[in-house]
Amino acid sequence: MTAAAISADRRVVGVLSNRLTLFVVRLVVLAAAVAGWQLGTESANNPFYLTPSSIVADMYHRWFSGPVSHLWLTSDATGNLLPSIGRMLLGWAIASLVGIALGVAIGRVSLLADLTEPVVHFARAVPPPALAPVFLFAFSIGTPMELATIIFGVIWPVLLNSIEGARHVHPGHLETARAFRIPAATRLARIILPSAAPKICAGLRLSLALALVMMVVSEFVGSVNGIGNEMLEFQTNTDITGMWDVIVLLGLLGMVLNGAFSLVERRVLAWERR
Amino acid sequence: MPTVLHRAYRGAAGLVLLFGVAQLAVWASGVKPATFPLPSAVLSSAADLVRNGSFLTSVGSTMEAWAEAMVISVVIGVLLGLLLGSLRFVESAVWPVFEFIRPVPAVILVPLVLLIVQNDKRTEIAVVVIAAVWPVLLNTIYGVRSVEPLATETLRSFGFSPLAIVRRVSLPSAAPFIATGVRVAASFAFVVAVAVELVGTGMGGIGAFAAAEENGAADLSVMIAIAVWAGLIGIAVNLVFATAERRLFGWHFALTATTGGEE
Amino acid sequence: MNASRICRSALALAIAGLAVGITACSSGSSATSASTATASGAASGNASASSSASAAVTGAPEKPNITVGVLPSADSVTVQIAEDKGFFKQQGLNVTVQTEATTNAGTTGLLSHTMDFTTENYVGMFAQEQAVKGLNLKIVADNSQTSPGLYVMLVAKDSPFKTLADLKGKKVGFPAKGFNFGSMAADILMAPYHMSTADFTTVQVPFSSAMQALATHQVDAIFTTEPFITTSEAAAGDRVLVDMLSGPLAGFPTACWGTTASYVQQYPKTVAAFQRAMSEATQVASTNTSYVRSELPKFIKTMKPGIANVITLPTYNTTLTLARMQRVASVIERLKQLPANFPVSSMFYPPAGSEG
Repeated sequence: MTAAAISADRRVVGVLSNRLTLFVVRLVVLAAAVAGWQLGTESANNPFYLTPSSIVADMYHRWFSGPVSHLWLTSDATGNLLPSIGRMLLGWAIASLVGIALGVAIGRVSLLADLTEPVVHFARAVPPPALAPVFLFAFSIGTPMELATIIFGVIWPVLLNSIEGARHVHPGHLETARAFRIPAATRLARIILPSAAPKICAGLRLSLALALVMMVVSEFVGSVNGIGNEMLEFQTNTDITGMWDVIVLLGLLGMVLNGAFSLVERRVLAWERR
Repeated sequence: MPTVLHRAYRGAAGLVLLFGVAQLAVWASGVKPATFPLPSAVLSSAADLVRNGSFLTSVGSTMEAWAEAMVISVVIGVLLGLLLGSLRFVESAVWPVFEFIRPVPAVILVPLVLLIVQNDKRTEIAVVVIAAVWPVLLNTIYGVRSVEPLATETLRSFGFSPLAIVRRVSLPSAAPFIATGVRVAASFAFVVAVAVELVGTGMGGIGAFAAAEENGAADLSVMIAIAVWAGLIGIAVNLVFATAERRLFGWHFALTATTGGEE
Repeated sequence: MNASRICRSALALAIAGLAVGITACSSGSSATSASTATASGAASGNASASSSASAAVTGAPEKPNITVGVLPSADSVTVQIAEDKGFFKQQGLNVTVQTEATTNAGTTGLLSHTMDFTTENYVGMFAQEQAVKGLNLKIVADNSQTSPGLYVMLVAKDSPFKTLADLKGKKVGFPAKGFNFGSMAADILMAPYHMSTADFTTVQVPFSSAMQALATHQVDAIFTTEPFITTSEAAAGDRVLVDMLSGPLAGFPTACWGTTASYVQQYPKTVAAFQRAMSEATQVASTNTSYVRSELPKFIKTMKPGIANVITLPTYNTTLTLARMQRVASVIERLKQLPANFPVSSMFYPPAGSEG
């Protein structure tokens, strides 16, 4: 075996063990945090602090004790969790597509930018809950209204980051492309979009986090089902356990979504890492 | 090359165009004013609001809560960020816990926090802090990470204590990033404050004013006008922090040609 | 760079705002939200009823500064009356009013000790007592019962519905989710048709947005109350399908005042003082309708005096009786929303010395 192979092998093992230790350490820290939470709430004896064990048990009963055929989801879960998550993902997807398309256009055409940027900055600053009456009027109660609220709340990070990303494409690259008479569509697809990709991805990540928030907020008024809708019911009945269930559920959801997004992002931006 | 004023005029034209299109659309749709107002009615309601003493008081109340929450968020965010940014392994180990807490929307925490804290004003501030601390924290960590390792190594080899290193190198280098984080947090904190006031009871502020108007079967034009003012205040907040950021750290952004971590 | 773009946007906004603002302002809009401070409070000169308290619980309240949670409706105007007539001051109470935005805000307020007393529907009181462990509510004062036409099911002018049964399978707007005052009334009135609220789709819309939802045909009917009945009849010509608190529910007790058992234990004199003040206020309200109407725009600042003069008012009651509480509880028990033999009497806390 050559010296190069040995050192390469050592490097791989080194990386692996680092990753492994990191994973183990993270697991331990997470476990310690949960244990601390459990012990802390047990000793505090406050009716508003619940132990993780009771929360998880209640979540199981409420949402995850269904038949295998339904992926263990209860009717409560299929009736509330799935529609909410579906709306969130759909709203995020639509907002992303529209945001990227508009953003790249605005970023590249400075006249368009001058015309629209004040509007964008203004619309983005309005707190979405304050506009609930408007959405209630303009869209049908239920999914259409909630979808619209989610899209309105979520589009801004994507839009603004796409504008920035498209604006700051390396001019040298574009000059080269033009010199070689590469058509505009190809320039867009092969140069502008990839250059803007890191910024766009940052915007998409922010939007995803925001989508979770908007999903809940959109259901505060005029909703028929959903996680936010359920939360309202828990608030009405001062169902502390229910409230904690929703909080933990949203935390888990956010974690999963962020993790999934990171995986995809790494693939998409792989070329950017030298 | 269009001048700044030129481009501002274009922006104004864009706004006026949007207003005109909206006005035409609502008028042409024939919807009754009681059901949905004309944009011009919204504007006159907005003008009336300025003359409304209790609205101005509510704006003051929101800004007061916002300011308190911002101070607390910045202190916690920067201190924690400096700590975690410098100790990479700790930050890495603790990361999953953060990833779990961060996504939870602050607004749904209001009833629970109220029951725990047993005070309206403190609940509002606590919830806004919970929401606004993240941009500060994350950008501070990002800023500390971007510090030149050569600088910190040099100081360390000369026997400077970790605290001195933070004070002399990490903090100043991270400062532009912290500024970005504070700016993002400022706008976000305002939006969350209004949302919390809308959802909660007895917290005063713009949200409570809006809720009161809504309960009184008020014109929709007033509701939209309140939203418009909230948006304008939000822009003003963003403007103040963005200008300060550019004044203080313009050199950094010109040098690195980036606009910091989160937008 | 971001800052310059935002600066430019702000400049653009300023220019646009100035241009449009001048046009808008010059159109001379009259202030819509000016509250007409009435002088009738002083002029009304209605001698307040003599204090009805027994000698048992008198004396200065332990906690003179109290926060009272109210709902933005004509029911809670009694608090305004108590304030303006000096009844609170007479009892040594300094009252801060908090307007509740949601149906359960009172319970949260009590539990978080940010409210001392709250108003609530009797139905809501029992429902909360049942749902929230360890709440231990005490109802300390009666406030009002329904009047004819105060709680109705409203439909659009041109809709084909004639009776509640026609709403089968349609969307109906209620202010809250789950079991509540409105759904209870619906269940009772639909029982003769062998139907219940389960037979239509319940949509949650707050009273204020319900009118709009009806106008845009997003719901087919709304359960609503004043002032929304009057305003939507005037604005959109909506018509009343049915009076929801009629027939078996006529004269149904609606609003009352409550606090927690631990509060009553800790501050009995404060509770007694509150009870005395409210009893006088409801006495005034029940005898002097025009005064109530003049107080309404003061209490609900966005209500125009014109509206206040024509809306249906609740019937104000002065005396808290166990029998009335029991009536409400029985109705809810019949709908299986409360367990049978719900301990109503444990929530009964009348002023000392009054009848049971």
